[in-house]
Amino acid sequence: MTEQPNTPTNETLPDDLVQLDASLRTLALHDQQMPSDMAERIAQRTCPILAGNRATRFRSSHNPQPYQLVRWLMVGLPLAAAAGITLLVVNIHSTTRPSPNSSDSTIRLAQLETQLDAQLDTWEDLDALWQDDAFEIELTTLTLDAASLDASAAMDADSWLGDVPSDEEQDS
Amino acid sequence: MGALESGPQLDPATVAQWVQAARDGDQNAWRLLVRAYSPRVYALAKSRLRRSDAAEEVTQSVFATIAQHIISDTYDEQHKFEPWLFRIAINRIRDVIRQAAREASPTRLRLAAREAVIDDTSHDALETDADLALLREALEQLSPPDRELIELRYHGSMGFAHMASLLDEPYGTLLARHHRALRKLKTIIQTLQSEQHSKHHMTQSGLQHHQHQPQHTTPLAGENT
Repeated sequence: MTEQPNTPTNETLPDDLVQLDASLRTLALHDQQMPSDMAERIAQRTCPILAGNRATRFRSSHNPQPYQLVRWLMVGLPLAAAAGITLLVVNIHSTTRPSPNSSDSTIRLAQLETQLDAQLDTWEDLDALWQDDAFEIELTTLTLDAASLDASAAMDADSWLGDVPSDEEQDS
Repeated sequence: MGALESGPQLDPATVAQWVQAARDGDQNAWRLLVRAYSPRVYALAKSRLRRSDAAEEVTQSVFATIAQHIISDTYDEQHKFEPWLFRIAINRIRDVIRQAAREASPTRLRLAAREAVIDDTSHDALETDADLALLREALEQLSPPDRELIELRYHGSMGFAHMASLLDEPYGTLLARHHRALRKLKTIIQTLQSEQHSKHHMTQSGLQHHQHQPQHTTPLAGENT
């Protein structure tokens, strides 16, 4: 059985205790008669505890936006200043040193790119050639041919100069 | 058979609103809370400590503790504000009694008791019913658990459901304990009344004896002279 806090209970007291119950209620009512200003005095003395909490809550819950704004300003302002100075320097640099004609630069860049592409193509072709075995064989054949041509040319020269005496023979 | 009615209980929802508003810094809500409960806490402390200043100090201390718990967000006892409040009050009163007993020498205890009687007499001057003094004396002679039960019920104006929650006892057990405590109190009162009657009778007899003695002595004195 449970008693609701605000409703009288169905439990009853024996008759012999009813008088005592009434006397105890009278005594309790008498003791509950506080001096008139005591409750207000207690409320006033304990209010600062709640006020302290309110200040803490205000700092922690209502001030985050200004606090975060200041924090962002502290970080953002130096960054903005640095960016501004950089832009200023770039701007001054561009005004004091005339930049080349943009169209000429573009053409020159395009030419350089074309040349670079051509060189890359050449290197790629050479690389492809070296990858090919037939090219290597052909190159070897050519080398051997060149060597044999060189040897035959030397023999022809010797045979053409065969009757010419040497320097020692001429001296003697 | 008399019905056991609960005390001036407040709507738990209203109390919860006051607590929430006080937590948000509403001083008016806090004042309502203090005004609603401080007389009951004060009466509980006054009955036990017998001193108005000590009772006020305890009451203020209890509400300071309540305020601290409320603002620290540790109060999570939904709709159980009253048992929580009186648990704090009971613990604080026990602490004060324990501290007084530890610090006080027998001489100081006698002085404190005398001061308490003087303090109580100032209130007794307002009492028209002399039986209240007898009732206080009888309450003093109850065992501490029984006295606490009676004082929570009457001075704290607590309902049995809240008392069961506070004392962590089954509802039926609490009702039985309450009846037993009342019967013990009644027995003590009857004993005190009979003692007072005997004293009164003896006093009356003594006065009569004193009033009659000169009549006997005078003649004796007269005989002697």
